[in-house]
Amino acid sequence: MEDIDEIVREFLVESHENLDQLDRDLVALEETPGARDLLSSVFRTIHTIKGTSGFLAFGNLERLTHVGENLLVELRDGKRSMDHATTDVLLRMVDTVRALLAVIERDGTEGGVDVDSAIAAIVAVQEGKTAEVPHPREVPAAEVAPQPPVAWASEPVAAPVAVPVAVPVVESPAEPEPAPAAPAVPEAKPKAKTPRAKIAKRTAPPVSATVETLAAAPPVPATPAPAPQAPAPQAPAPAPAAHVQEDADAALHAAAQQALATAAAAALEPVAEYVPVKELSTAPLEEVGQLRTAAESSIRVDVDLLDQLMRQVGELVLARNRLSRLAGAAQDADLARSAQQINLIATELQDGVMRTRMQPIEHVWSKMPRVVRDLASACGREVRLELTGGDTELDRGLLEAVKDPLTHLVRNAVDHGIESPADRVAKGKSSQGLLELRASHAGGQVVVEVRDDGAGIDPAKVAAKAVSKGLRTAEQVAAMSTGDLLNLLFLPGFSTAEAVTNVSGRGVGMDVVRTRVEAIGGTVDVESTIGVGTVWRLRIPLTLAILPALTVEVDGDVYAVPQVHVLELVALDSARSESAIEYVQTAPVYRLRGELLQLVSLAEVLGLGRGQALENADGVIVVVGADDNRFGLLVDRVLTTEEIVVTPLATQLKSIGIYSGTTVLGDGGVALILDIQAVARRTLLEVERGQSGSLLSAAQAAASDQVEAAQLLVAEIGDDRRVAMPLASVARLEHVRSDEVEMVGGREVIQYRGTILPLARLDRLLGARAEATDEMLLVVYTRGERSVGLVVEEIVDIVEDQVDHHSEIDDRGLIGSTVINGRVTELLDVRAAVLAADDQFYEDEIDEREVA
Amino acid sequence: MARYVTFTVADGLYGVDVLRVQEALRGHERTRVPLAPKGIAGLVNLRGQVVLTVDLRPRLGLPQLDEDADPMMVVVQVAGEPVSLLVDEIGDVVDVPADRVENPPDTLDPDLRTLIRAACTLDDRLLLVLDVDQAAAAA
Repeated sequence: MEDIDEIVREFLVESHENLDQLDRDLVALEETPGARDLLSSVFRTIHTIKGTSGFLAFGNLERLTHVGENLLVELRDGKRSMDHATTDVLLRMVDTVRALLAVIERDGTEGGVDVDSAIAAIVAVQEGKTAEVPHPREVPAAEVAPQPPVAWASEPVAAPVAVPVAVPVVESPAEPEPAPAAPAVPEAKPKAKTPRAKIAKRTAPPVSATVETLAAAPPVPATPAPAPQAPAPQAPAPAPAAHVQEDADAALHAAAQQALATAAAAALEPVAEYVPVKELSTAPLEEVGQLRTAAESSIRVDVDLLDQLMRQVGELVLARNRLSRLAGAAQDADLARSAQQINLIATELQDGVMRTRMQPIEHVWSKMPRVVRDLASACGREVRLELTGGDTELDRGLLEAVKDPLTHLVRNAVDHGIESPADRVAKGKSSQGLLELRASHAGGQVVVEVRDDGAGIDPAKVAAKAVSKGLRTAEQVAAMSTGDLLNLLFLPGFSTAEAVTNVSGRGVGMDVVRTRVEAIGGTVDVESTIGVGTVWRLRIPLTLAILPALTVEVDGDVYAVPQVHVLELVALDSARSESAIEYVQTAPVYRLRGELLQLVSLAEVLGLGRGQALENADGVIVVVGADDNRFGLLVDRVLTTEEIVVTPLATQLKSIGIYSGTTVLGDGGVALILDIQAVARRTLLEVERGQSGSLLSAAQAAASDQVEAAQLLVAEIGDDRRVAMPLASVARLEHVRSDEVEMVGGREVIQYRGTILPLARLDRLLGARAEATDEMLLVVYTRGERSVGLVVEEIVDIVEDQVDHHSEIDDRGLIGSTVINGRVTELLDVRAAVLAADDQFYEDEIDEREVA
Repeated sequence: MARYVTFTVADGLYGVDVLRVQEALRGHERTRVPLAPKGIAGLVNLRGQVVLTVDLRPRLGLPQLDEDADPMMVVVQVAGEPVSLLVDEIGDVVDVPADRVENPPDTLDPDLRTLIRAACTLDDRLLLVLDVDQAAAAA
């Protein structure tokens, strides 16, 4: 145990399991060469071994798997089909990997195994030659004592028998004896389906025969094992031969009992129980006993079984709820007491079952220090790793799912985030970079942060890269905020890895991180300050099966909105006019703390009419966020927040695309769970995201052919005067800085999106006087190629034009006045105002309808 | 010999293979599914399990069920999942000798031909055998 540390041991266990799978997959793949899932499974396994061996500095193993992976890449990309020769070399690679693992297992090094011939064979196949390199059967056989049965998996039985039998009995107690014939096997591999066990089974009869002919052999094979399929782990048999002879009966007896007792556990829990052969055979007996105790205190349970338990507990909880209600109504003290007790037990049971699936995130983190250390030295960085909140628990399945994204982020931070020591010193930072992993619970989610104090990400570079890769146009990136630019990192095809290296992987970029995290209902975002550092933040739900949700009512039905998306709730009150719904063209909006919030009526989305909220201005706005959008979902009523058990959607309903699942509510009713992202995609299709004034322009685009729907934009222009202008012809609203205004030939202009935008100040035009401010608000009118900006002081409102209130006034720049919200408001002569800014504006031949 | 669970929908007698039927029971309160295809009558809570209910009427060319109707449910297994079919009345389980099971008449509406697997002449009336998978598809 001295020179095999925890990580290596885990690697060995994992790899052994993987290799068994690999054998099966490769053989299956030869039969069905086109099976993509098999191919990717094989690829993944080899990739994992390669990656880990790289970090554990097993150079030979890495070299071998790297070559193998290259061959697999060709298969995956369809450049090569799975023929016999390919399968041969791949299987041979697997054998060699096994031999290497065995040596590593024995003495912690990988010396003595002939890797080069296997590599040569793979390369030969890859280059189109038939593999003529001789199979190095003798090499592993001679040097890797515990492994020969594997190498000879498909060989005639007779040949290998002599070796495995002779070795264990006479000199090397580490040699596995065949399980079914001899329960007293020193083999520590507890999984019944490991290839060694299989091999042993296959070779069993001749083995016993041979053993019997060796007069000195103990009478081991004669006794049938009580659990013939399960090799007895940690059996004390591997004592020297003489010892075995004396104690054979006792050992057998003990082993038999043990085999029985641990058979179930052994098959389920190889990780906990796994002890490398060599160690076990040389370990003192007391130590073996100790190991066994540790192993027996935990078992591995099928997650499906836990899921089933979980469901049943869910049903129990529902039945309990009904019982509680009945007991409450019956007014029977005894019944009430029993119901209460069941209530308590059910709650604890639910809690307990949920906990069985929870594991601390430390599980994933424990590998990080090594990963960081090795990568840091490979990249020439000095990195200090700090881990906070490792005891934060989350669902096991989720833990597995975030392992790879998290590792990727950590590697990325070391590789690209933290600068070289020299650079750091030059910038006045300490030469050692700090990488922090933080986990915490927040609002029913687990938040995991990967935080470095490195160079940060330059949004300008990201933008340039996005443009050069053709992912976005220069105009698009010019209009994007810093946050939006950083989010471009998550686009598929943005991978910054220039070449395929061992560190960067094969095109696995941030998009994969995002895809993986979103697949489990989580989110990932990034914040970065140049020169200060970068924070990657993962938000992961606690468990997949149970979801905190807000239940809402629309048209008499209950729907569940996942809490993750809910930002806030706003009650609409029909009695208070200032909290009412307004309209931009036909799109309902709500002014939330000065910002326009687009509203979506859930009833309308579901095809149930316009909905009570829109009709009566009565209801609740659930402000939700999905992707980068924020919008208000109008519902009739908000009921409560509760933890719901998610059940998958019936196949026939999946195509609707608005629901993500169903759930049974506390009262036994069924509710549909809304897929807010899908609702957003469906209803906000027109919105150009993340641009100032986008709401207005989008609403306008949607209703461009309804110019007659007269809505007025009401603006203050100074001196407390208000003017109204038709909203239909407004292209955008823009905030600009006053010092950006330049003079051209006596006119004020600003540079705007690469063009020159002439300005007209409405206050001067109409004889009012606005106060000078640092910032100006522009109402932008566009006609064809030309745009002008009308300077106003403040946007007050958007209202329906009530034509009957108009009165004619004949003043310069005005076409009349009207009463809006109890105030006299002047109606702007837009044409005159626009001409004041640009007298050429109406010269071009364009349909006049565009400018009202 | 074929064995069918029979039921009526708007005076017509229909049957499904008895081996596909999980249970037959009184109607439960249904949660409607907005935007769902016409044949989907909603979701019910069947002992903690959410089960889709299918109204056969649109597929059979009959007017849709009233919102407040109280039909019976025949729960059938489709691809390992229970689906509940809404019917008016649940009848007996009948054994039909093989020589009474015939192909559906050629005069049958083409829309119905995929849905009706066979026609059985019982002593007193005609039994139409439904293809459960087709019926549950509800498209």
